[in-house]
Amino acid sequence: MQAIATKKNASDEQILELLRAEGTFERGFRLLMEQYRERLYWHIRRIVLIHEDADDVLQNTFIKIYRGILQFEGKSKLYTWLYRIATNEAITHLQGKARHSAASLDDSADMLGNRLLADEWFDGDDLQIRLQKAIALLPEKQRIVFNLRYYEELPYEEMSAMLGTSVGALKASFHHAVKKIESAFKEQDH
Amino acid sequence: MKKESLDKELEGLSPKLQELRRENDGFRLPDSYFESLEEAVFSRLDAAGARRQQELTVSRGKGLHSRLFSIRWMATAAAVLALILAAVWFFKPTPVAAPQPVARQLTEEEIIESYVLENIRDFEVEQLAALSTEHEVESSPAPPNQQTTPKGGDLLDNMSAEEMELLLKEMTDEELESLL
Repeated sequence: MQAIATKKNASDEQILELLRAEGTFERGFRLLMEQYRERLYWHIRRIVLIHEDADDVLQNTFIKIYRGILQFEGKSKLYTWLYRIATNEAITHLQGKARHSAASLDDSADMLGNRLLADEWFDGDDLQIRLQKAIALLPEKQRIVFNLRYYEELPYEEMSAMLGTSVGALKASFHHAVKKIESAFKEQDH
Repeated sequence: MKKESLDKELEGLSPKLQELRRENDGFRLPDSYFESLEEAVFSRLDAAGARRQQELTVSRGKGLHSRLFSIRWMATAAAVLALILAAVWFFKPTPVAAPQPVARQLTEEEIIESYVLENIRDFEVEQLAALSTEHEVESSPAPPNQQTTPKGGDLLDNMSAEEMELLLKEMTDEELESLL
């Protein structure tokens, strides 16, 4: 068990074993954080875009995981469960911000672009900012599907388990999102 | 494999997005951000009081702390219990030593005596003599060497004149002789 705790590439089963055994919960949780923090961070960052927000959401995500991991029944893969929590937290965060500003989707996209420009942890060029603004204009679920596929290259089957949507619907959603982004680029060019 | 698949997918859909994927997306993060993340999460869990207590003890490597705590708890409980028992004992109302047994004894003697006198006809002479002897032994124990012969006359000695008269009226001559 001691050897497992120091291994960075511990399996989900080994992590869960530590989490469930008496006296090794914290060790298991630290291992889980070590294993998934980067993937979850980038997943959240693609949704909320600003590092400060991503940090806040990621911490909330891990706190939720800490509190609820023993209720994880293993019916899905561990990372699917973790991604679901992270996605919900990121969406809740964005919805909270949108409620607070009471802005329309277009305004929100503009505001997001401006915030992105002001973020010291973003140094993308004009094209990247335009891409992020176009993504921000997508409906919530389409945006998540696009990010998961485009940035994280998640197979549709895994996405299906995570989001509870059929593979066909996800493919259609991604294609639709790509087309919308294309037309947003064209509009911005004009 | 997955990347090729996505590239293939984007090839027909949006060559521009396919091209953008190869560029730097501009997202960065602070150095050693992930190293400090763990402690930030645990600090928030501590602040919220959500950290597992058992884990805190184990992670500090001080199982001794919990043992000492339980010993201290048991000692406190024992002290409190002892204090309660002492208080109960101290404040317990002490029963007043009533001279009842003596009074009862006297009353019993008196009752027996009056019963015997009232029903003296029903007693055999030997019974009366034995009763008298018992009474004497109980009230004034004889010296070890002194012989205590039961005598019916002793009982008669203590009788009042009226009692004696009543007794003699009831007794036959033979009974009186044997008594003498």
